[in-house]
Amino acid sequence: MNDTAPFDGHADEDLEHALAAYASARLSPDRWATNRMRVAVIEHARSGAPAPAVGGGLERWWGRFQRLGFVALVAALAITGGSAAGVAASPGGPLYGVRVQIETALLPSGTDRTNAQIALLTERSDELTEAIKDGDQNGAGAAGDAYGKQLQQLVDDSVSNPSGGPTAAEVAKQRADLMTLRAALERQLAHLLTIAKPNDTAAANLENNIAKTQAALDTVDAKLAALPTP
Amino acid sequence: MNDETIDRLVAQAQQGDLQAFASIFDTYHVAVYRFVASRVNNPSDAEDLTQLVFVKALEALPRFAARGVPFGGWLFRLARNTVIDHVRTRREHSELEAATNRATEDVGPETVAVMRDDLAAVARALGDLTEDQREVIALRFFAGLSAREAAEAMGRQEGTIRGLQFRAIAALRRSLGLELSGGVEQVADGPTGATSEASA
Repeated sequence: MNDTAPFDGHADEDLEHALAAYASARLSPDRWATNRMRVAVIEHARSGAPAPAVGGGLERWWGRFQRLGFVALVAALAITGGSAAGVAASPGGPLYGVRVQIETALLPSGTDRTNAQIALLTERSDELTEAIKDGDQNGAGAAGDAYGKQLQQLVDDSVSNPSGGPTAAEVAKQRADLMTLRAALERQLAHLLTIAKPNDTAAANLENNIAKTQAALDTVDAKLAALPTP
Repeated sequence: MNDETIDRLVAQAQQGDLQAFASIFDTYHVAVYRFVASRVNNPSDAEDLTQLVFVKALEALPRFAARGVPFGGWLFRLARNTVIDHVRTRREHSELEAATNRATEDVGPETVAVMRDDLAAVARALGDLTEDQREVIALRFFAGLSAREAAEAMGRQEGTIRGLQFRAIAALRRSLGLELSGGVEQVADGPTGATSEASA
């Protein structure tokens, strides 16, 4: 894309303004449309499914259904506060998986990604703690699974190598992100070890996540050691 | 985002880096949506088709080779073909009278009414353009592509794009009552490069 405006002369300002206003008012996706598209595209990329046909009756209706479902879920979550939607989207509830999926797909792709991923991981950890405290085995299982997946994605993203020869600035940024991640993982590990002690029913799930967190720490350490020195 | 950064993101996405592809989506989705929305007649279709463009891009990405072809041009060629397929399948002609009619939140009702009139006038003026002229305006002004990228997207020469743009601008200016005292040729002195096309 080119940042140079197609019009440069003063004489064209009125027309340029009129076209820009038209594009902004009538041709721009709203925030919801952007989120829906992003979720659909990123989930498609993640699943590796073939491109759906658009234009056929069933596909079009499915597209509408997905849109309505997304809007309903997001609207319901926005006003939860103990409502039925809030319960349904909590660990073990029927909408929990969808909620995690949406939250994951809406993660920013820029420089804030690592922090946003750590925040989500912490949320999964909090949900796991809460479910264990309430003796909710279903909830603990769902939150534990989500924690494991979130952790895996976070580590995969953080240790991936920029292609084409990373610059010194990129290496420095990656090192800083890895250090942040390392500190967060240490906190998570300490927390999981604490809540694992008095509990028996969720022991297997917790042990599994403790092992995964420890493995993630090892991976991050190995990556940090392999980064070129500044 | 500059071309170098885009090229690197594309290379990373080609190697299966989902985060890089997400960045590409974040960079281009508004532009693609605007182009698509200007070619189809409702926001739902524009959303479905924009989604489809990126899904197709994801699948075709391993076959994309830069070699002088700007990524934006390549992506918008996909977008253009997707719209053409859609119109052909639906047997609908694209209409510029978009179904969205969002009011501006921070202005009063009188201002909103004036703005609506202005937008309707732009829609009518765009509707009076030829199909090619309208497409060039959509690519250059709504999607923000360079002349080179627009040429790649439409499968035309860059000079042809500039010529279409020149004539489209002249027609829009006439329709909107924005003609200059010295005539449209006066405007062609700008860096759009349209002068040579106009005189050709």
